[in-house]
Amino acid sequence: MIAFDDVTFAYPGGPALFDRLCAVFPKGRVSAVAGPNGAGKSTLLKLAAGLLLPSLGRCSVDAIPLGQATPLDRAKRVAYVPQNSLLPGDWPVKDIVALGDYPHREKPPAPRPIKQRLNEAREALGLQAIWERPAATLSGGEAQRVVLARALVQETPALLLDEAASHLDLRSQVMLHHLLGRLAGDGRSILLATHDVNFPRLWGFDLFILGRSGHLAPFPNKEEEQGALLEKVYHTPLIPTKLDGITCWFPDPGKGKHEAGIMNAE
Amino acid sequence: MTRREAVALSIGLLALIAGIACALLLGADLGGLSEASRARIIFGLRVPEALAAAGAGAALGLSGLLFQLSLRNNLADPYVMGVAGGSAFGSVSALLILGDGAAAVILPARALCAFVSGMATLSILRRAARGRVVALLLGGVIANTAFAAAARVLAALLSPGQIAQVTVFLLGYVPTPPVWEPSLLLACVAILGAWAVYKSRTLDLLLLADDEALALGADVDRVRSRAMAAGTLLAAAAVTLCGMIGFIGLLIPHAARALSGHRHRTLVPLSCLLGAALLLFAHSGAKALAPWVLLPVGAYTSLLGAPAFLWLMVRANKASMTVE
Repeated sequence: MIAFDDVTFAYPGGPALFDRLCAVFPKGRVSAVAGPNGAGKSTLLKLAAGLLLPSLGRCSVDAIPLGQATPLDRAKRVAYVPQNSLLPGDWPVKDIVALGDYPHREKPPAPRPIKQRLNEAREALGLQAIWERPAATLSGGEAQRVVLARALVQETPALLLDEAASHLDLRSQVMLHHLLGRLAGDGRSILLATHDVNFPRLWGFDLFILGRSGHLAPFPNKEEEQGALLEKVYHTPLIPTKLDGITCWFPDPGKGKHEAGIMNAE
Repeated sequence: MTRREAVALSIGLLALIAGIACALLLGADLGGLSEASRARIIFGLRVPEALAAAGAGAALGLSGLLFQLSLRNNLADPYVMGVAGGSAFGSVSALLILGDGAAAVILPARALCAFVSGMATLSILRRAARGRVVALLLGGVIANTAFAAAARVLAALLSPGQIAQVTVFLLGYVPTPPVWEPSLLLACVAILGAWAVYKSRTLDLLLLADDEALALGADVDRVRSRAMAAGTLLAAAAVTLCGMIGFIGLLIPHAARALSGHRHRTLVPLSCLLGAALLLFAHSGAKALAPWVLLPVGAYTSLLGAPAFLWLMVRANKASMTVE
């Protein structure tokens, strides 16, 4: 369980991004947070990862507050995959993935033998073909899979992914979403930041919408409420389409052109 | 340890042994001398020189590795970044102000001044550059020039007789000190090298983005500042004994990475071994090449290092080190 208790946060010199935010992302579920650019999705994830500390309130994983934990203790509980990562170009993929074992190596015990975790991560993210290759030769999507594998090796109760599918091709996206569902099934808490308001619901994940005011709302069930919330948050006309019995929302190309003009004028 | 790492360390060790052999055997022909004077030349001159060259080379190699890692930039080293210049100025001013006292007091005092001055230079430059590596390196080069000029001015004001000595110091040379002086430097290398090997897994993580390393459990800020302080201390110690020997700190980590790969558990000892070997070879080469003038060895390392620096710069632009 990833919990935010009365979390207030502002970057130095900036306005408060979150004001007394309360939220719970339960164990055994994949939770996705969507919202417009600049609403603070990445900041929310960094707070949940303990990389940023709230000015008031606290973030915790399985009821253990991250603020007081040492970096190693924190890394044994939460794994974090950033939007962009920096991979040392001359390192082979297998050694980068193995870095996920760092917190367990520095502070035993390890959850399971490292060989087992490495093999599973390699299979799960389809890295067999690039396992020995240096990072400098990887494509964006391959690099993203390597960083995901590293987070799997970390084998933490909580997993945070910041737009983890942004560079992935369609097949890899499907692979990743299956994997996330399976990991949540094992009893982990998973939190994603995403731009897509449709795929989380198609995959049976929980969706939350983060508005510009730092307000986090669960995605409503009724179609009218969904449309109203999305248009209010994104300032863009959307049209609903039924897919598998789930209402998906897409930007309306006809009206969008007109509205985009208005947005530029703002 | 992988096979490649073992081979690399063996090469480093062999290079060091060869370097020591060169330093002890090369030089004026000792054939016609008596047993006693031969021993005096070998143990009184060549051994201390070899120890000084090995100590300074190892210190500079390790210092360069720690700076390249801390800044995630392969063009960094204590010389380029102005740390060596700062240290040299601190060391020379301590020497000029304290004068000819007991070496046991003067040398540690100079090393301390060198360290403080090097750290000050580093923190001012880092603050001014605000994360722009080009600005940092450019600032470092300018700082070196300014410090060299300041050291000469100070020498001219305080003791004009020492200007020649200061010039040699600024070029970098291998002295003939009492054995305890280079031993102190070697002890310094051993202690900081042991620390770096002990922390090598954490040092590996410094190559990642800060957020990623932090998320994996590394105390990034603390380890980075310690690595930089260690790098500065090593540079200050080397500079105090041997002056401003350029480019060893820049080149050695590249050679070490090419040989052993990327793990700091191997890169740390290998940089020490190769650095020591390189300066021993350069010192022996300088003696063999122009025995009649004994040009300071720093002149040779800079002649060799400057084109190598340019080559690395061109290559760094071609193949970016990181993937985003």
